[in-house]
Amino acid sequence: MRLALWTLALVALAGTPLRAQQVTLGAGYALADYREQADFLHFTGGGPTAMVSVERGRLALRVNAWHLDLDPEKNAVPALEPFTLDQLNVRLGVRAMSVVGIEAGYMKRWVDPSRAAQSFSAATLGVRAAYPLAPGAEVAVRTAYVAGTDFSGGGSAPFGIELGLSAAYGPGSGRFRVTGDYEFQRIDRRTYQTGSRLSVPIQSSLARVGLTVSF
Amino acid sequence: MTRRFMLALGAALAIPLTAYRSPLAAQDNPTLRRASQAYSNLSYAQAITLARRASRERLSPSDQARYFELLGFSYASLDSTRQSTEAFKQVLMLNPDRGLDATRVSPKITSAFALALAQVLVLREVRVDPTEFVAGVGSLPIHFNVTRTARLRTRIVGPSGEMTVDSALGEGAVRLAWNGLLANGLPPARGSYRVVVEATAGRDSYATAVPLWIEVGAVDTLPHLTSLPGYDLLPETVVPARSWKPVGLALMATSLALGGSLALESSKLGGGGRREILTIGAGAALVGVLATVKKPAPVPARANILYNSLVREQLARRNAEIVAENAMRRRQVKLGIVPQPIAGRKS
Repeated sequence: MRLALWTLALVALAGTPLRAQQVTLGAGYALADYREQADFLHFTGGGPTAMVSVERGRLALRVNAWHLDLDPEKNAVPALEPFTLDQLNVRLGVRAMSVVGIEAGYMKRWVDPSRAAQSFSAATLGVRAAYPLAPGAEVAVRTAYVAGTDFSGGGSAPFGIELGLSAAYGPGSGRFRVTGDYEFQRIDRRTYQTGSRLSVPIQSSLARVGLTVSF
Repeated sequence: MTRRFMLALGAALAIPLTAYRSPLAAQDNPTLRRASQAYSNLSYAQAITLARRASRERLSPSDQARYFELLGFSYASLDSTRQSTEAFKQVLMLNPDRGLDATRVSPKITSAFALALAQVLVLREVRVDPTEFVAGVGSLPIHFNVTRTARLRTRIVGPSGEMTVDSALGEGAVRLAWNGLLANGLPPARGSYRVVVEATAGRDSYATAVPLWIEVGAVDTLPHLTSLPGYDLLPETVVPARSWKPVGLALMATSLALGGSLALESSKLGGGGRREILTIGAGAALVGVLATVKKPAPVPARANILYNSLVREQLARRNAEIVAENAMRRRQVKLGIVPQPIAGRKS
């Protein structure tokens, strides 16, 4: 979490407005659905989110962080305990065509208590397509391959994928915007216990609604 | 209608009548006046006698010219062509621009006058028009008529020096041009100058001068252009017509995300949360609807941008030419020529 705060502060400092550079700050609230290993390990909850992005020319640096309080779903097993999930996503994008860009990122997830779920870090590589609909209005879709996962509980994930949908609308030129982001993530984690392979998938969906300001 | 026509005819006839000046015009000398009266009474011999008597008296320069003219008219009327011609030659020497109206004067007189004109060497109708021009670029036109073939030498003489404009044989109407530069290649300074024309034919020579006032000033520079006349810049962005494309794109993006999520959900985990995608999907669709209603964003008009770049290129090129031309103009001098009343003299 400390790393996330440092990163956010660094990006904010780097965001000194320059010509042809746009800095966007945002905050909001997220709803989340988290599942792991089997359908009985099912959590839902919500929490605050923050974002900073700096765009300059074809380059864009986007940093998202959120803090979620997740509780077991009511039909989950009784022994489950709630936990908090902090996550930081840092993505660097390069616009390759008019609306399509390539994004490389790094994500880090902390879970407390650590026994409740998996903490992990991973690298992502994907594409993002953003369509300006009108002045101040935009919709974007993104997908990324999740690789290089490093889980706190061990194991590996040969396959992981992210899917995202973003929509933003603001009056006038859109300096102030209402934003909505959806992120779906599936990571097929595998562990080996007593010589046998065990499939422990992790899946989460997140809906963030917030306000942003650009300058 | 007839009365109007008569008035117009009268006005038309009045012009040559006033333009023509007969020897009977008012004279200062009383004897000469009597001689003129005698000529009017067709007493040509008496007119000659009285005129010769008047010549022995003190005559003003204008009366002198009229004296010779009266002799010329009278001798011609008496068919004494040689004496008439001699008298007209004296008239031309005194007043080289003198002419006779062939429609008003007897052919005997005009033929004697023409004979005198062919024998005498004078420069007639020496004229310099008032003008303004850039020294070395424009020119000052100089016109005159020479009555016989003669070597003509035309000079500009003044406080800054002198310049020979032309030196050549000429006859009849001569038209010359001075480029505004002196012999040293520099324009003259402000001041009073003279155009001196000298004619030489054998032992005869004649010279006349036209005084000029030359005003020296700076040449006007050209203003820089901010636009090319007739080539206005076009708007580089255009607002497209409102369409359903935004809502279509939003729905397509939502469908992609929804479909992808459903396809990627792990069956082992019992599906996935629908609440999140439905919330954001509905929001995205709403954004699409709002964007459709909203005024579309201006988009670049490539043809206009290309056109404007060409116009700006032309404008820059023209302004560069203007800069170069202004630099040249700042080194130039504009001359204002105002001719003064002409003074003629016999040499």
